[in-house]
Amino acid sequence: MTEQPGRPNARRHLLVAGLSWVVLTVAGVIGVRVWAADSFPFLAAEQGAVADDAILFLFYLVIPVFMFVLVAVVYAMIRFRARPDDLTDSAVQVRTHRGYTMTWLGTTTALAVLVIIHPGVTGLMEIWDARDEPDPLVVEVTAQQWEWSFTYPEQGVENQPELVLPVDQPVRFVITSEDVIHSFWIPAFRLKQDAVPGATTELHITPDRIGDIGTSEMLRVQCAELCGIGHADMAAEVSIVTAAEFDEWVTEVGGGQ
Amino acid sequence: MAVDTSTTPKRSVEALAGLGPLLRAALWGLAGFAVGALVTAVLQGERQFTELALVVGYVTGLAGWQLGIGGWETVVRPLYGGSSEWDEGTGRWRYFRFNTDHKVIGLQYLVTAGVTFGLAGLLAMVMRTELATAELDLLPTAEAYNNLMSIHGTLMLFAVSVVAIVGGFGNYFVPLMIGAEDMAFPRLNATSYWLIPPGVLAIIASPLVGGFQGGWTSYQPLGADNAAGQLLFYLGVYTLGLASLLTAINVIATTVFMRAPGLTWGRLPIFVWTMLLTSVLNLVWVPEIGVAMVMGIMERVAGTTFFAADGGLPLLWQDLFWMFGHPEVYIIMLTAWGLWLEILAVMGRKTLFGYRWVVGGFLAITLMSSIVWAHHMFATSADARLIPFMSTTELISIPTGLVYLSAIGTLWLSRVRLTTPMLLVLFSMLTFLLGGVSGVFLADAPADFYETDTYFVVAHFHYVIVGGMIFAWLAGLYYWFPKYTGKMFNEAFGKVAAWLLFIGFNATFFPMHFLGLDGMNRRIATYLDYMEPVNIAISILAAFLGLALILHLINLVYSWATGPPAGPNPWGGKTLEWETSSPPPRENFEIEPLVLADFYSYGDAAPEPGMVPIPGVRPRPLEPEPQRTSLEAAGIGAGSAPGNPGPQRHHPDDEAGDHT
Repeated sequence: MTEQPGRPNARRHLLVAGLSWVVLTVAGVIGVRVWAADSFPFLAAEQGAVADDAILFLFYLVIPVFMFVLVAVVYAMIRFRARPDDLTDSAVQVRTHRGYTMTWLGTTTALAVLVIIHPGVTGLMEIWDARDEPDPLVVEVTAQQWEWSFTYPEQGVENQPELVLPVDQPVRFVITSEDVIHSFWIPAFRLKQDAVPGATTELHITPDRIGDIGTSEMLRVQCAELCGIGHADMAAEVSIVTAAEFDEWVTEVGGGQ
Repeated sequence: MAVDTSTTPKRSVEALAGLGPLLRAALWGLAGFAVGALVTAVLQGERQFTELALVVGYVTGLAGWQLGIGGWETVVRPLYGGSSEWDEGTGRWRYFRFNTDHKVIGLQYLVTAGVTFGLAGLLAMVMRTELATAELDLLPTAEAYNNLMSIHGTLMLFAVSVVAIVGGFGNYFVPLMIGAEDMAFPRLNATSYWLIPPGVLAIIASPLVGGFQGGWTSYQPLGADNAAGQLLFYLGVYTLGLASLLTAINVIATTVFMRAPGLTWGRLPIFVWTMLLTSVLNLVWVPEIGVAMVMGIMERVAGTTFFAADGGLPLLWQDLFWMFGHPEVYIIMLTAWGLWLEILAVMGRKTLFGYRWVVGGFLAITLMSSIVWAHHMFATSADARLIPFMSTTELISIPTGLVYLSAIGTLWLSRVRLTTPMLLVLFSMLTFLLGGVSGVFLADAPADFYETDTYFVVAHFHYVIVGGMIFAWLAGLYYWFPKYTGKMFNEAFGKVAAWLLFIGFNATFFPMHFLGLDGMNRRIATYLDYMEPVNIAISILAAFLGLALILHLINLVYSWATGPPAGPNPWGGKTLEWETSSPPPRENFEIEPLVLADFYSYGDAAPEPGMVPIPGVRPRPLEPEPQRTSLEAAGIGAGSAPGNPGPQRHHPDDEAGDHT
């Protein structure tokens, strides 16, 4: 084996590529940390953080994978180049390689299983935990082409065109549609849930930041499922206010017992 | 010149004769449509054009089209004892009629998919121009945008992605690569191709009856509310699907029964493996989506309520659609991966790494692709489905990873000849990888609740389908260009266009990930002002992507017309299509080839795999293969040891590979 011309250099190629991979991976991770520090869009709900955390965690897992392939391809493009008319076979001919194949299979399997468990299942558990919050504020969300209306049954407030929520109060959205499928999405809350005609779906969220569309345009209800001509404009304003301001609003719009 | 005046009328007569079957098909198609629609309207007692009349007219029109193009002489008349005489045409006119040569059919598919890709791409350019600003200013209404977007998606998915490689390269190269004379069922093959133009036309014509607004997924019950153009979506998709189904039957039969002597399963070219498994997926799932399309039609014309909010299940459509729709992603990708590996081994002059592992991976993908569909419905579906489908979706990345195992294993320490096809394959490996990586984010349910239905998804699937399949298709168009044209393309021009494509593509689609995270939902013509700066940038950069594709088109067309002769085997490839002339004769090989070893062994000890035996002597039929044992004894068979030594030439400048 040792006298094969490709062999001694093969080790050097591996070393240089391996080092490039480590450097690029570290650079990638630092890059994502810098980006994530202030570039994640405006967030205003406890459960939304689960999605952001999942994205950040997945970045850390996929950066080494991405850099591995990037380095292999770019390194080969630069270092293994041969003239197009050169029909000499490569000096190294490998049909299978147990160590490489098994390491590959082991790593990819471990990564796949890991992401199922975390952030997959753990994230879902965290999101589902919100359902056990005591005394949620119930808001019935009705979607129709092409507008939203919000009813607060416990407050006696009906069919409001804007969504007003008290901060730090768990909310249980009960969502349905009058016509076609829509999707209830407040970008600042991250999670979305489809509105299906003839059925109700639920979304449990605890808003944790005061604001309205003036604070961030992420604070709006936006239909996310194509529903016809008016789909792009099917939006509603969202205000997250203090508990006292919420009570005031309830009285103002004619509810309150 | 005097010659011109005398030949011009003659050429137009010749053109008329050459186009005869096509003109007859158009005429019979229109007549069929008129008769079917009229009879239906009369039977219904209606004085106007009803939706049922549209459906019946389409079906009778399609029958007229198929008979007119040559089905009457080649299929129907002989069935009833009549003559089966039919002029398959010569020269360029072969391509405009019913022709059973798999190479003609392959090129018909390639060109049709190319034209459709251009049309759907133009629609994308119109969409990007509209999206450059937040308001609606180019198009008259949001409805017009929705129609454009729906036609773009439907054509790209059903008439380009699943057709270009599978129908084009599949038809042209499967028989060549397995040493067969033609496909198993040549007339079925021609019939399946001639379903493509009417399918494409139906979708393009949909705005004539109001268009359809639901995108290529056409979710219900919106589909039932749309204008009658929705029916042309169902009919067009059904027709295109039928073409895929017939091709699948043909490819499976051909691969199973028509391999050359000595071409065992363990030696089957990797591209043929991917064609076979794609065909299995088509065979299983195309009938399923066909049923969904028929249900959609019945919903409108027969008063059924399968998907209605009252008395039906609106979400049933999504399950039916994605049960096909997700295997479809692998129908699109498997053959693209097959192309990667073919080109990597040939251009790197290095033995394909892990043939058995990657074929196993393809088999696992084929099986698993059928149990991941509900990940498209995480924000829709019941909780109980989230964890199972999230799990299967993450797990399918393991067999998919085996494609990269083989690709990188082959690429590493190979002698990379950076020709245009090789460059495009390497770019495809990187862009598809990014699509796979964003797929991990989408497969994770908590993150998916955030990303789904936004531009993050738009970025993701364009990376997968354009970066994966379209790049590979282009690579294949260059790789096999010498074979199907007999000419060589302009290498420098091709490489510049490939770089521009890679840069233009990434510049266009990469920022869309962040648009999605910043709250831009998909399928909208207008958006809030804060998203405008990024959208303007994307729209401008998209022009470079369009330009790159136009440059590739110019290179291919110009080289086809003026390129120098390429010879039978310019790349030094070992698969059987390189063992015959370029382009190959009607019967492909002058003598039936005999396969002695696998096609992906390089190195000095590697045997010549395919061989056209001594002229005049018929090869022995497929039998236990006496050669096999002796080859394996020599350490050359498929199971030989890694790094098998054998005599080595000395290459002084091998490791650097640079040109000094």
